Amino acid sequence: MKKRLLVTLLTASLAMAAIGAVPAMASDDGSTQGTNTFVDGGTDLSFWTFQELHVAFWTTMADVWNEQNPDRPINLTVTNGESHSLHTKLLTACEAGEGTPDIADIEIGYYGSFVNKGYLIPINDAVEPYENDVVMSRVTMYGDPEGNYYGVDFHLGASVAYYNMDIMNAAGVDPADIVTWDDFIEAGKKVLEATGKPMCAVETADLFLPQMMMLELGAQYVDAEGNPNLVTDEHVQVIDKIREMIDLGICIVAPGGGFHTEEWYGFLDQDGVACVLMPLWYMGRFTDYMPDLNQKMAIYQIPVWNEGDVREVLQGGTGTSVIKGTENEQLAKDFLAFAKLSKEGCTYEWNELGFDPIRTELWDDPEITENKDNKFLAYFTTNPFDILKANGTELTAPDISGLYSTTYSTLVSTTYANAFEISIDMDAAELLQQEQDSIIF
Amino acid sequence: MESKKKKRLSSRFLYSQKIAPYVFIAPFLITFVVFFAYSIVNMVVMSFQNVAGANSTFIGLQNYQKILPNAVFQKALKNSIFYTIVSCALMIPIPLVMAVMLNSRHMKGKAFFRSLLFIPALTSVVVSGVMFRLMFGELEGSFMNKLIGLFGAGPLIWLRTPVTVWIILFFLCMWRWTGVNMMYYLSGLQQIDSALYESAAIDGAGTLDTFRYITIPLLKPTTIYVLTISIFGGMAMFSESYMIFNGNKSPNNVGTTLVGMLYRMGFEQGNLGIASAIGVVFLLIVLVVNVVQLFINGTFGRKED
Repeated sequence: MKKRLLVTLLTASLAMAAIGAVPAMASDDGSTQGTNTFVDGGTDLSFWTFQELHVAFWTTMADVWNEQNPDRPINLTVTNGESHSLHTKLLTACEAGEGTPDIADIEIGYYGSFVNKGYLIPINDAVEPYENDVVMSRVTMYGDPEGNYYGVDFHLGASVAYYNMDIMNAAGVDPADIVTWDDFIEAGKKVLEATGKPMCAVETADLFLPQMMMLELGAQYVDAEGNPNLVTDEHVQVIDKIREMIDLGICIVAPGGGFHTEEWYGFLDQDGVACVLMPLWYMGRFTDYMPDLNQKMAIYQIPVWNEGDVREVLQGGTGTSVIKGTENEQLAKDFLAFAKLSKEGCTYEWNELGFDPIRTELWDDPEITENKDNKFLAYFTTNPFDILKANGTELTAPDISGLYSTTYSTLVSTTYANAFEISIDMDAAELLQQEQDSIIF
Repeated sequence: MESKKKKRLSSRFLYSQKIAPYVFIAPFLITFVVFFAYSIVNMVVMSFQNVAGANSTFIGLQNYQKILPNAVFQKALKNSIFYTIVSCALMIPIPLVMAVMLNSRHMKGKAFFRSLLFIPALTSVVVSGVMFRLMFGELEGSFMNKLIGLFGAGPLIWLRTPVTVWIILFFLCMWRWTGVNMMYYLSGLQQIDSALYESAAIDGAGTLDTFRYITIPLLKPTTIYVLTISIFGGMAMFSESYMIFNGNKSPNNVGTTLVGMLYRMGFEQGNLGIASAIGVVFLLIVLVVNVVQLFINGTFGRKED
């Protein structure tokens, strides 16, 4: 009898060990969750985001929504995880058609894949009530050629030039006088001479500077059909211009290879470079990671190719979208549009996250633009809203349709590393052709 | 009567010499079939398809025609092969010598060193990858640049120069896996009859002679095992590179391996047909290499018995 018990126990434990071994292999990716204040009878909505800062935004907005729409309350659960793995999981879930959330934040670099494969639901009707109050180019860019929009951004993402005024003053250059890229280069030479420091930096693991210069020329990385289109005269012109700056010593490859690396933050914080060209949402990186530059940084308009060009470009972003397969399509769409486009939502985004509001009325609201308690307005010596007003609402956004995601992946892994660091002497057109050929689609 | 018969049947089942082995291997077999065999067959099928959920279509060899001439694929393949060869060259002799040293009677603090060398294997690649990335930062203040600064060498851009990237990857590999391979060798060493060493000593054999003529030949099964798993491990390398570069993107693909490219195509870009084709090529390479290796080492021959 005893023996049989032993055998049974042994077999059971072995079987359990074998089964247990499988889930134990799944690694814990440290995802966290947040919820709003649940109300009775609320509809459950699930939400995925890759950015921890967004969790509080969504749960707060869900509470505001419930206050204003007591007849359609929602109980929102926001799950947050590391960016790469979250996007991968979302894409895989969409592919399988199972386990998708109702709504998700999708980073711009990944967005194209989701639109391309038809995993998102058009939100045109939910956006319509807000159409006249917001910069629509920031909504239409998350769309397709048929005129459907699938997502709304958190911010406008207007690109600006952040100048370190200690360095600029030491070189005796007033950033307000810099209008064209040639002015920028001349100023860079003075900065280099006076301080020995580079004027700016370019990333090899991301694409903000070249993309900004491309958009100024009206060029995109994908053609009208959405196919990768790296070999263009504009692209060659941009690469040659950045290489010219590198040759002169006024532009360096960003330490760490990108503007979101530990090395770069440290370098920038220690007055390593005179100017950073990034969108306005990059303000948050200054306030979070560069305490030593407080009251030293000034925001000006970006340089352009020719005098008289409009000095505006939109970059970066996160499109929040309703995912196909949701059981509460209308509610999810309405809540999404409310959170991103209402006055309440845009105010929260500006005050807490430092995102330049997509809603234009806030640009003229002195309570917002002159608020001395706002940590972003307190940090910088110039007012970013002056630039937003000067830029207006007819803005140039990147074309992220078709195979943009695939193209992006090549640009940030090989193209710019080759162009600005590894094969710096190779002819730009030849290099771009080689990169174009390496894209699998 | 009925229940007694049932009882006998179940006890016959439990004590049956014929059935018991199958019961014991069943858990493995089931997981293998469900999670491995099924996926492998499916992967081969998908490699001939344009995968789009329910609308998948067969496109013949197009996926293979796209990847084989592709420059990035060729680079990833070269990277994987290079990594495998060098890591095998490093990860067999070094742990072997360490194991022999730790097995020696004259060694002090055996338990301490054994655990010290084994600890890295227990850390997560995520944590160690981040640590390594910060240690090998390119600014003057980073740990490694300070260290080589002591010897008068200038600050290096560790993570964007191919040579230093490979040094870091092998360093991480050795730091992490030396202890594991050493454990395999230690257990192998402990199975060698000490009488052999004693008689060799009586015959006047020196330390090097016993190592050459007793230790190495008798450790051959262990070496074959370690070599086999090192080839698999080397070819499958991905997370180290992913963590060191903070994502599946290394400058100009210096650290992109086949698995990295497979992940990029399949999960980042949602192109599962291409990813499956890469997987099939990968599987074939690993299979061929290991079969050849095992053949050379005489694992398939039974002449020694």
